[in-house]
Amino acid sequence: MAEPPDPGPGGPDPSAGHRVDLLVRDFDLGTLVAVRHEVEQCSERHGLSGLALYRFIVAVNEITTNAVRHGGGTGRLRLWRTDGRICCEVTDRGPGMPASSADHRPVPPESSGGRGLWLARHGVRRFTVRTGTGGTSVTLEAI
Amino acid sequence: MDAVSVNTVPGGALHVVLRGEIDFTNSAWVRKVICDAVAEQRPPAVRVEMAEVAFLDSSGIGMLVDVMRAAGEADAAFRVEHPTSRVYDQLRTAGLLAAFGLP
Repeated sequence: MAEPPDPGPGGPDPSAGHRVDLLVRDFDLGTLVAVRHEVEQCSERHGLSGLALYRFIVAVNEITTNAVRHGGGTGRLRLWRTDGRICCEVTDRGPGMPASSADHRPVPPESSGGRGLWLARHGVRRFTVRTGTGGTSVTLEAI
Repeated sequence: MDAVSVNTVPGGALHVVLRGEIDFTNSAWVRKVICDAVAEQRPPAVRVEMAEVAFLDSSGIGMLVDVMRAAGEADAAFRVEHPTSRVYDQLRTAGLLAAFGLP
């Protein structure tokens, strides 16, 4: 899938509340890492850096990995910029997140799993989940 | 360069060096390499060098917790050393600094 063209001068002005699409990718286990690298490069090109960039990439990666592991094995990622902020939506067609995923308590240190959503939620400004039997959609807004 | 190498240092401690990106696609293999070495060598201490780790995800963190538990079962001390400031921030968010022997 080709990257949407950069609107360039005269294109939509992100400061005016327009959404500028940066990247759309379908992914599965085989492309998880490559898509993460693309999201990182694209986000960096559009102004994210340092700890904010790292936390965002960690968060996006947790959600794409969840889609591969628990959401039917594949998903679609969209990255865009709006009002100067970088946002990402990850959608899958899996069975939906279990109710326990709404539990926001920290994971005890001796537990080997269960930290993905905690890390994702704590790495971004806004974290929105829509989930049901037809799939899950998570939207992340970078700090 | 492999994502993990394991060496025994004078005194018998196991010195684990992690590199690059540790994520869902390689963390199970990394866990096996380290836990096998702990089980075989029964070292008095396990030190995990993290300076060259550029990216870590929750399955990589889970792998470190499993190594910590394997070290505990072998009565070995466990410590994570020299994470980058980004990975340090992540381990703080995960609530693991004290468990991993980090200040």
